[in-house]
Amino acid sequence: MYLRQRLEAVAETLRDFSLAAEERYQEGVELATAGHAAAGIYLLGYAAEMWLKVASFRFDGAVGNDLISPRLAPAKNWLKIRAPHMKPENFHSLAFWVSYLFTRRAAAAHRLPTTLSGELLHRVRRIYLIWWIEMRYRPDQALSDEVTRVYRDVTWLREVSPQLHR
Amino acid sequence: MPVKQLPPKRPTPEAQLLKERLVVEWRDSNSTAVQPIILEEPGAVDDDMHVYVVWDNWAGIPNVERSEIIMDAFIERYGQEKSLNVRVAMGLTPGEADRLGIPYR
Repeated sequence: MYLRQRLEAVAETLRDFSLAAEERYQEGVELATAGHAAAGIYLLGYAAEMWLKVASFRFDGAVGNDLISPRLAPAKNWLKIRAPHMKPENFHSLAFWVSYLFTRRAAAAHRLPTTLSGELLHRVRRIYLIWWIEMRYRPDQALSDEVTRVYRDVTWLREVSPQLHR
Repeated sequence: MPVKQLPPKRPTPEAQLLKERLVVEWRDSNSTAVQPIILEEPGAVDDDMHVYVVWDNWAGIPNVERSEIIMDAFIERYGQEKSLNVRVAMGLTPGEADRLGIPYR
């Protein structure tokens, strides 16, 4: 059985996302430091996306073995009502996921501390201006300043991610 | 040059059919159909809900699309407001439900 068949035979869980986020982060850092700017940014952005999803679904009550895919359409439905201007971009939009996390926490009267939420919003918006899922179809045009910025912002997100669902 | 507005992206005809069938079953509390089997489970928090639909017809349909069909049907059945309580919308074939231990029988 080939890799795709092996992986698709089992639906991905929250724990898979956490592990994959860490793997993509480490690989992204290696690529970026080796001078592969676009590839580095691409993987670092993926890690950011997964950490935001994990935080969102953990806040919703999901635990390690819970599946991710059955939670995506309900999240889209939720934000369509609460923030209709937010487009999920096939569930990859960082702006969508940070907005989902904020509106879910606000609805539960359990907002993040102001300093943390302000910095989270600021950094995710900055990553969003550089990373998006479709960048894989473009040749590398990333500037060194953009690599550094994504690296710093995603590293910050990695550090605070355990606080985002509490 | 004339300017035309494109309509929003619509579900595929297959998804539309599955959704309509699901809505019919959801509304008919006296249905004798063997499938789809619809399970509504309270979530861990407040009014949260988990919805499972066990159905042979899901075979070959990606998980996220199943979930979107269930959400669309749920909205038709219960309305937009109640749909905000759904945290999990999961479509499974009977074999998948068995493997995950979903108690549908």
